[in-house]
Amino acid sequence: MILMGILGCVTGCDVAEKTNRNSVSKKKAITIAVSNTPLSAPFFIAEKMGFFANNNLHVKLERFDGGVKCFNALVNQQVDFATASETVVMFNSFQRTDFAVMASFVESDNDVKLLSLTPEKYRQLDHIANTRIGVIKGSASEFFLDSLLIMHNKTHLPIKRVYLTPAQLIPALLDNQVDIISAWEPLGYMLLEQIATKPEIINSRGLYHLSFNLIGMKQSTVDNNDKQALLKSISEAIIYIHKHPKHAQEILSQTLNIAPSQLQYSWADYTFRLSLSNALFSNIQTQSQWAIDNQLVPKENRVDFRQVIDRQLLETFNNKEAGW
Amino acid sequence: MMLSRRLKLTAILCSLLTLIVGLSLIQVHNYQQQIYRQLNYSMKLQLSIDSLRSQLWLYQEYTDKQGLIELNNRQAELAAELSQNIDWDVQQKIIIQNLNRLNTNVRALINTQNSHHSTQTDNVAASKAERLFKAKYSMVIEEMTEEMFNLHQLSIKQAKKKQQTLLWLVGAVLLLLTTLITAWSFRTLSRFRNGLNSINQGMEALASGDLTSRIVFSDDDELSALANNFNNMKYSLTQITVKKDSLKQEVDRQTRKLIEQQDRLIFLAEHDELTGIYNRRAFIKKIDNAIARDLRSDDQAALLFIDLNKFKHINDTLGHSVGDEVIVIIAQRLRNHLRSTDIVGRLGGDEFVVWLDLIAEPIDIDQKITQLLTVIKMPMNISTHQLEVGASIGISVLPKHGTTSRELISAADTAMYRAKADNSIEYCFYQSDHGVTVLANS
Repeated sequence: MILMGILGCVTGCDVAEKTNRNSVSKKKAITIAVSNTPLSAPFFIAEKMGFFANNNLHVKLERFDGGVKCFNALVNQQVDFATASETVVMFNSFQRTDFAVMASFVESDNDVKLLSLTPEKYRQLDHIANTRIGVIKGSASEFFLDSLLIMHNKTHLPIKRVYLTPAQLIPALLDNQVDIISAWEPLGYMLLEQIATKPEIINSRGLYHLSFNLIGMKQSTVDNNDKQALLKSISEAIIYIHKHPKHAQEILSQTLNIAPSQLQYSWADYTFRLSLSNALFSNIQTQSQWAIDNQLVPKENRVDFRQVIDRQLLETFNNKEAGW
Repeated sequence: MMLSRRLKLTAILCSLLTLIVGLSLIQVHNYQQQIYRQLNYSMKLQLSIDSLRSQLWLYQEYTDKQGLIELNNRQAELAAELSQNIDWDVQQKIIIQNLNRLNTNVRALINTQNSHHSTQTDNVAASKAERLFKAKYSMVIEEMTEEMFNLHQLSIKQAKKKQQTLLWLVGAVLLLLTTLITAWSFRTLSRFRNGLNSINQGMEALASGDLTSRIVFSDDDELSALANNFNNMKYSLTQITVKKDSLKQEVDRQTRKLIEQQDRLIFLAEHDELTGIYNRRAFIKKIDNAIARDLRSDDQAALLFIDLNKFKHINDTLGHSVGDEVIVIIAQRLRNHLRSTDIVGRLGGDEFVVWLDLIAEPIDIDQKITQLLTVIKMPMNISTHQLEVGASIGISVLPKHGTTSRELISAADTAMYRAKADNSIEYCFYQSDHGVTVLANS
């Protein structure tokens, strides 16, 4: 009798599972624009490990190179959600407030670095005087450089900024067009591959916080339950990353077609977690002040960043998870 | 299964139950300790972070050496707290790692701020830097707070999960074991009761004298062994009872046989082996009694001493066996022609004695002697021979010729010799010295 019960239960579960999957496949797909970087790990893992399907979601990941393109796909209504850094959020907030950050899912305190072919020359930051520094205009690259100079009290040093695109940074450095570049990963890793010594000129860990965030339009066809399910899937993927970091890296390595050593290089810098605190708010605020100071955005157009941060969703999710 | 093994198993199960309860309690205690440790630790962390936060605020307000020393202390305290090894699981460890990282970020920020703070000259730049540092500190502390919330939440969630798992597990194991022990004990009890009932019934049956019934048992335990022994005992008892009866019968049979043998011995002691009539000793004993009785009642009796004639010739010519048969026939004839009160005996060879009791008149003796002589002389067929014998008879009379058996036999013997000597007479009364003689003519 016990055996029959177990059989019945198993059959029942099986049927329920099938029904679940059927209903998932019938459901309209939720599209998410994700950046082709390891920072999007929770999405790739959730897709690969079936966490979306387990939460009754049919998710389609659209991959783009960088958060800016992801964000553009979102506002162009190509996708339902996008992932982008807080810098992208900050700049776009000056243009529009019809989007909202739902959650931050990864942070790095060591993503942007000052790199050089001869880092030993610049161990003292004073030595960067009269150097040519390659930066990407109006991006985290420039913000990081400015922050570093401010915090180290080196704003008065005469330096020459050479504005480049991300693709031009390393060639320019190798070509001696610039002495130093302010660049994010994986450029640091790629440079390391080229010169075989650590290209970082100073340890800038903790001086700049990069975050990647899940962003959606305020007017969305995706209902709240699915949004909750989406957060749950990402949360499960994050737990999986914590518990099985090696397997997670293998999946990422295959998905992004990057060498495991590259993943390894910056893996320890990433903190995967769902959050939406004042830290992000403060980060965006600081960056916006910098953008205003540097006239990257119209000065008169002050933005209330509370409008683009939707705490409600994550709070509800957290409360549910805590069983409150 | 043996009852002792059953009880042993019950004891083992009970011990196991006790052990599991004990271990569970220890485990519960350990879990609780772990949970308390974790919660205490989280609270300490929270306090350290709060303390760091307030010190950071103070440092922003009073950027001096004292503030820096204090800030360094707080930061080091938090680092020390974070380095403590608590039994965290993977996720909690990640949070602690992140807190550590944030604390290191605080250190990096303090170091950066501190290294250039004294050289700050440009007021605008200084205020910019100050604002930036404030924002950075605020961000880090905010993140720390958020992580602490996550740690609390995770700790509580895990404590709840652990306790529930333990509760379910212990509950399930205890329920299973207690059910098992209870069922097992009841089964043992039932077997014990049934076994005892069977034995009791068997004993009651035996007490009421039933030796045939047996205790029926199907189990293989001590009570079954007891029942089996009881059945064996009952069987033995039945056997013993049967033996006793047959022994009694045998004793009776042997007793009867002995009596018969005794009777036979008595008979053989008193009777002549060949003829079955009284031998000399028994005859004398018998006539002694008769003499005593007759003397008391003043009665007369006669003793005849008979010696066969022609017998020696038969014996010599036809053999002892024929002679023996002649003796037997004569003895039979004598016995057949005497009264029940008369006594006949054989003294040996061809000599017979006859006691004629209660003789009223002498004439009666003569008649009897004549009758006896007639039957003696009757021819007899033995094998192919027709034989005849005669007899010489001597007679003595009580009390006339003597008052004792010896006297009377002697007198009759004497008279018989006289008759034998005289071919003209067949019998002769004893002729005493006093001269009284009575002769019978042939």
